[in-house]
Formats: sequence, C-alpha cells, structure tokens
Amino acid sequence: MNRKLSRRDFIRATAAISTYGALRSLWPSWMPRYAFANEGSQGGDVLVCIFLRGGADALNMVVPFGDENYYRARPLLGIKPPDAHGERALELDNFFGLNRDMRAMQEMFTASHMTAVHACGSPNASRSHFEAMDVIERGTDGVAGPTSGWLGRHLMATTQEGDSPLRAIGWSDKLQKSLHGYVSANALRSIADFHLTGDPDLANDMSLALTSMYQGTAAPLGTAAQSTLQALETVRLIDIDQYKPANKATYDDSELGRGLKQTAALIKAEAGLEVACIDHGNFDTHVAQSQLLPPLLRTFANNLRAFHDDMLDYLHRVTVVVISEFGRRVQENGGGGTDHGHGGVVYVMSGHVVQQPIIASWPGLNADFLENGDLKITADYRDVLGEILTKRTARTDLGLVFPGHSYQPLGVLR
Amino acid sequence: MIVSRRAFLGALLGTVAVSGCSQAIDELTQPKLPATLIPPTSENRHPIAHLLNRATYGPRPGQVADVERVGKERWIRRQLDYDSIDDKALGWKLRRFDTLKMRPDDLMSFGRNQTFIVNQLVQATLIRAVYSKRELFEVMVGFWSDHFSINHFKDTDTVIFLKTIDDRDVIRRHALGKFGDLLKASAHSPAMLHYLDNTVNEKSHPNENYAREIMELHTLGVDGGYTEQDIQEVARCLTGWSINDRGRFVFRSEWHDNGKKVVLGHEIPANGGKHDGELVLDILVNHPNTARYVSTKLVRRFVADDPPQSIVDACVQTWQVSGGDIKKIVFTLLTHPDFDIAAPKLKRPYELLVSLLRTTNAQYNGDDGLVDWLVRLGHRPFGWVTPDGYPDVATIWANNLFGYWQLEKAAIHNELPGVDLDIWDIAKHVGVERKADAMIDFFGRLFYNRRLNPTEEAAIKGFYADNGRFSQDLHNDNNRRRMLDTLMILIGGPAFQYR
Repeated sequence: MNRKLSRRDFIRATAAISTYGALRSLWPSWMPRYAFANEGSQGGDVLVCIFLRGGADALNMVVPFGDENYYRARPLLGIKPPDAHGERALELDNFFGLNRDMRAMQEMFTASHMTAVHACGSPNASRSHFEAMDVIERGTDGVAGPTSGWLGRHLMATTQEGDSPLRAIGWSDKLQKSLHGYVSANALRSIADFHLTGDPDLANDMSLALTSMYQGTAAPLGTAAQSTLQALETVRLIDIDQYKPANKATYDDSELGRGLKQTAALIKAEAGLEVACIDHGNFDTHVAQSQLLPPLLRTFANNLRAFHDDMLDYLHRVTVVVISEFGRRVQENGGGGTDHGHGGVVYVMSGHVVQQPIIASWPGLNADFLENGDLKITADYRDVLGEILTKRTARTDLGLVFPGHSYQPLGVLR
Repeated sequence: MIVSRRAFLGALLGTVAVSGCSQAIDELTQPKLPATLIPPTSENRHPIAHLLNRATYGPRPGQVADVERVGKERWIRRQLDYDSIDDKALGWKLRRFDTLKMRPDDLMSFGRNQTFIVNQLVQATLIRAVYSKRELFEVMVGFWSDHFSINHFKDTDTVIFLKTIDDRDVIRRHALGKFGDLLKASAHSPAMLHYLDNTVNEKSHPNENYAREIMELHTLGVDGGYTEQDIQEVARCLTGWSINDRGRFVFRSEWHDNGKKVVLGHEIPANGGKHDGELVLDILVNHPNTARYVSTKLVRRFVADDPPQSIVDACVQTWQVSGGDIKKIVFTLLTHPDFDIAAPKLKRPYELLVSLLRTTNAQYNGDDGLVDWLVRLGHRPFGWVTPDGYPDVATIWANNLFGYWQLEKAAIHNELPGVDLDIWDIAKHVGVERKADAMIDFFGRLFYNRRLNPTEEAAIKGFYADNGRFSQDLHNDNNRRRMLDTLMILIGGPAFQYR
C-alpha cells in the first residue's frame, strides 16, 4: 500500500509515542495570527505599500482643474475640467479631478475608502530617481540617516515572539529598500516560492518530520518552528491559480496585479502578513506621455479597484498607501512629455479614511509659487506614513522609524 | 636530502601562489578528516562540544575528541595565547585578498565607493571564521566587530571601506588585549570617526553622535549614569578628532573647543587640545559601569540571552583586578562552573553558516555568492545599520527559521556558491555510506555531539524509510537522494540551531 499518511494520522501516531503528548501544541489547527500575538497587544492593519517607480505625473493623475495655471503650463497634455468637452477629468471636489484612465478608483473616493494628499512628498530636493527613491524608502529627508528602510525599522520595533515568517513580503526578486533592516523579510516572486522543496509530497513529508523534531522545543525557537510550519501549510493550501477574488474582482497579470492578488490571498488565509510591498511602473514619461501614461494608470487603477472590491470585508483592517519618488515638472516639455519634478500625490486606501477625497494645502501653480518650476511640497510624506503607523498598526516607535522628523498628522485617517 | 613535509608544502604553495592558482591553494590547505573519526556517543551533549560551540564557530570533525585529550583549561589557555598558534595555512588562503594589508593611503587611492574593498573584507572574514586555528580569537573578533559596529553601507559615497583598517588595526590588534587600548584605538579609527560623524564635529557645529554612542554603546551602557549634559561635554572634548584626505586620523586644533568642560563630574581644564579627548577615554575606561556593561554583553555572547549574574559578577571582578585584560576576563567566563550549565543559545545566521561548513569539513573558496546568503538572512558581516551591532538574542533571529532551513537544505545538497560540501566523502571515510541507519546514527552524532534521542531517531528514520518505500541500501540513486533530504531534517532540527 502506497498511501501517504495524512497529517492527522501522523500526528496521532507520533503523539501516541510522544513523551510530550500535548497534541494541541504539537499541531494546532490553523489559527489566525492574532492568536499568536502577545496578550494585550492590538493586532494592527495589514499595510500594503505600492511604489510607483519612475516619478508619476501627479498633476495628470489628480488634476488641479481649479488652477488656471495648470492649463497654461500644459497646453497639450493638460486634462480638461469635468464640465468641458473631450478628455475631461472626473470630478473629485470643486478643485481636483481624477484622470479618466483611473476611473475605476472614482467610486473608492466617493465611498470614502480612499483619499489622496496632494503637493506631498519628500523635502529632499533631489531630482535623481535613485536618490529620491532611496530617501523615501529609508524614511529620511536626505542622504544622511539610517540606511535601513522605514518599514524595516517599524517591523523591527514591533517584532514579537511567534511572528509569522510571512509577516513582511516584498513581491519582487529583490527586497525593496523600505523593508531593509527587518531580518525576517522575504522577497518572493510568488507565494508558490515559499516552500521547503518543489516536490509537494516530499515537502509534506519534510514538514511532518520537522514538526516531530520540534515538539517540546522551548520558545522562541519552538514557537518559530510552529509558525513556520503553519505558514508552509497555509501556503501549500493556497492554490493561487484557483484563487477566486470576492465581488467579481479581477486582477490582471501585471506585477501590481499579481502582487495585490497574492496579498489578498494571504490576508484571507490569515497567514500573519503585516506588510507587503509592490512596485508598479515605469512612470518616467519624458516623451509621448499621452501614449505611455494611460496604460500605466489603467493598470494601477483597475488592480487597486480589484483589490478594494476583493477586500471589501477586510477594509477595516487593511491600509494601502501609494507613493512615488517625486511628481513631474509643471511645464510640459517639447517632446510631449514631462521632466522630473518634485511635489506629488500620496494615496491612502482604508476603511478609516476621512470623508474628504483630496487633502491639500495647495501651493498654486503660478510661476511665483513654484520651486524651480516644480510643484512645492506642502505635506511631508512621513506625516502620511506616520499617521498610518500611529493609527492603524501595532504600537511603533516613530522616532526610530522617521529619525529627526517632527511628526504632524494631516488628518488622513479618522 | 630529506625535505620536511612543511617545507615541501611551503615550497609547493609558493609556486602555486606565484602562478595565481587559488583553487590549488584551497585544496592543499583544506584540513583533512582525522583517520579515526568517532563523534560523541553520550546521551547528553558532550561538555567539550558545549565549550567548542561557544568558544569557536562550531567544532570540526574529530575536534571534540582532540580537545578532550588536551584538556579543557589547557585548550582555553592555548587559544588565548593565540599568537603562538601556527596559522600559516590560513595565511596562504588570504594571500589573494590584497586590500587587507594595504595602508589607508593605498585604499584611498582607489577613490570612493570601491565595493571590491568591502567585499574582500567580508570574504576574508568568512574564510577566517571557517579555517583559522585561532578559533577563540576569531569569535572575539566577531564580538568586538558587533560591539564597535561599523556599517559598510553608511551612505552611497563614503570612505567606509576604511573599515578594513579598523578591522586590522583596532579590532584584530586588540581583540584579546586590554579593553582600554581597544577603546582608544577605536576612538582614533578613521572608519569609526566617519561612521559616527565625529569627522565633522567642530566647535562651531558640534556633532554629538559619536559622543553619545561611545558612552551608550561602547562603554557605560544606556543606563550608565551619564546625562545629556555629559554627552554635550564629551562632544566638546572630541571636537577636531577627524580624518585627513589620506584616510588617517588627524586632530584639527582649529576646530577644537578649548573651553573648560565637566565630564561625569571630572573637570577638564581649558586649553587641553587633543588631551581633552584622551582624558574622556580614560574616564570611560576606568568607570565601573563600563566593566559591568561590557562584561554583561560578553556573557550574553558566550553564555545566554539572559546573562547569569554569577558569571557577570566574576567577569567584573577579573576586569577590576586585571585592569580590563580581555584574556583574563574570557578565561574567567569560560571556566566558570555556571558556564557548563548555560541555557541554549540560538545561532545567528552567520554562526549557523560557519558551523555548517566546519561541522562538515566543507571547502569554501571565498565566493561572494555565499555572502548573498547572509544578506538574505539579514546577517552580512559589517552590514548592521545602527551602531549597536547585530542583536544577540534569539527573539530577533528565531523568526528567520525558514531561512535557516533553506540554507541547511542548500548546504546538504551541496548547492552553496563557492562551497564544496560532500556528505558522501565523510560517509565513505568512516564507512557508513552503504546502510541508511548507520549513516543516520553517524551524522546524528556528528551534528549533535550526542546520540539521537528516541523522538529524533523515530522522526528521522521514519522520514527516510517512508513506510518501507526506501530500503536500507544506499547504492541506488533514489535512496541516496532520500538520504540527503533526511540529513537536511537532521541538520534542520532544533539541536543544530543552537550553539
């Protein structure tokens, strides 16, 4: 007979010969992460961080149609006000509108599941992609300061015994810099990469043997073994190709779509995920922006909407934040594109955002108000991220996460 | 004429080195398995194995028996007298890492942002941990590298590759010397002064970073009895302690604050110049909280996450009597009766990797790909960002267990870059390569330094056999593959994750 022992059979068999005997601690049925958390701690939101790489053109995504200087600076690329004819913006409030290629997101704004902070970004003046990304991912305002990432430090400050090995994932070949500094962060291309071996039968046998080896092992190694074996089991049970998103949501096969879909699956599987990082781009639209930008925006908006719909029952404990290294120059260039700029938009999706689609202390696009031709920063990105960490995640240490920054919440979240 | 084996080996290596063939050097200097290799057969882990797991990066095959013959105390004394230990074979292996011997000027001449310099230091560090016969010395180098941690990745355009000089002239020169000399060398180290921003500490723009950390992390400890005022005063004393464009320490008197200062109650008179900083170092070295703080860290490193007070007290006493003689303090620690009953101590990823290579007598050629494994596991030498050094408690590292298992699986299957790890070589050497149970019993003892307990034996042998699907005969490939997976479970078990 070649039948494999089921996990249950195996446990029964080993428990019978075990001197430890405590079956419940040996292999508890799947339990959600907060059951592992230390008593008295508040399980926080799952935080999903999307980075729009390349410098996304914030002015053509959340359009300041109420500022006539926008149309002077962008005679060709400017998006018309909501009441005009042709390629019009979708109204968000009486000053800002949404690019039509992002229409999938409009209802998220009107339902107060999303808000966007305009003229937001890093006080660092760098217009270099590398440097500006580096500064934002490290959570600083210049080259000085720690080289680890802001999320890495947050995770390190809030780590506790029994944390899931799937606590922090960068959906990428290479771990995003934001996550650097947390020793247990995983860079995964897919959930399916999280296994002991590609042969499922062998992997199952190995897990059973390791379960047996670790029975009675003291904390924290014993607890780590339990949560690791459970995470392996959870991931094994997730057949991502068969995953059916809720509410008829559809992700596409882009890096963003795959990342969000797998994030959703892990959240629903209660795999202990706390932070996921996903990249989307390239937004570096120096030329032919009218051809290059629309597909990027549709991918962005459609997948974010899919995630929103899929996660509708979870929005009270999931927060998505979207950032780019900088916005683009106010004045369009001669090549039908835009060059590197400064102020941008930071988007926040959550069941707890304030009832205000756009949060902005608008600096104005009059040449006198610009910073070397760029939209000025009136909101520090760290105040948005800091508010999310403060209000929606387990107690953290903002002084460690954003060293040297004096936190001033903008009122993004209720 | 009879040529001694050593002379012959030396001549041969000389030829090989000239021809630049480092592969041949690696093979010729690879330690041989002892002719008779009998790992411990006791029920509990052999006490010598406990010593070797803490005082080295993990026992090599046969080493437990060797040290037992020598005797515990004699072995410790020999290891502390590290200069007298012949380490020529290691020297041959390190020959190609030419930047290790360079002067600061030579290193600076390459220009900034030279990754090959930092890579050479990391690769050499790994090779030393695996191969050096000065095993306790290497463990102490690792300890001080954390204590006086310098991050190789401070920023994108730095002179941080001067860490190579710090490693040689500060950490290695004083790792088993006097703590006072070590601290003073560190305070003159260009890499340290740059890392903690003292290179820009001048009277008109004081920078308190180094002043704070030298008290909080290097000497007194966070609750060591200093105030914010003391930090400002120490920073003033250290104004002008900087580096020049040749990568050397320089005191810039024009940057120095020559006013009177008070540090921890000691008055430092005006116009002391560079002497101000030296007085500060003396105050810190002689402060009783320094002895206690650093001793506690040593005991945490060698004994347990929660350091037993008895051993800390003994170390502090030796510290005071000997004037901070590190050799004497380490001797006190390792021979303390409570050392033998220490709680389990989880290996950190670097220690896990090095112990894997040592336990299996694997050959490592310095390939940078192996360093990538350490990056993935969050434990690349000199890669910790903040100046407190890599954490030394299991709660931080235990959640990495999946990564530990991946590393162990890759090792057993001989898939680690730059590593030749042949399980079957060892099996053949001791004659257990034909029968599954014999092989499991042998490697169980080799990896754990004791017999497998009944639970482990049932789990491991049960996994191998899989209800009779795999027979005892290890001649067929299918069974041999299964055996490697079996050994992964063995080495992935809790006993091997502990030091």
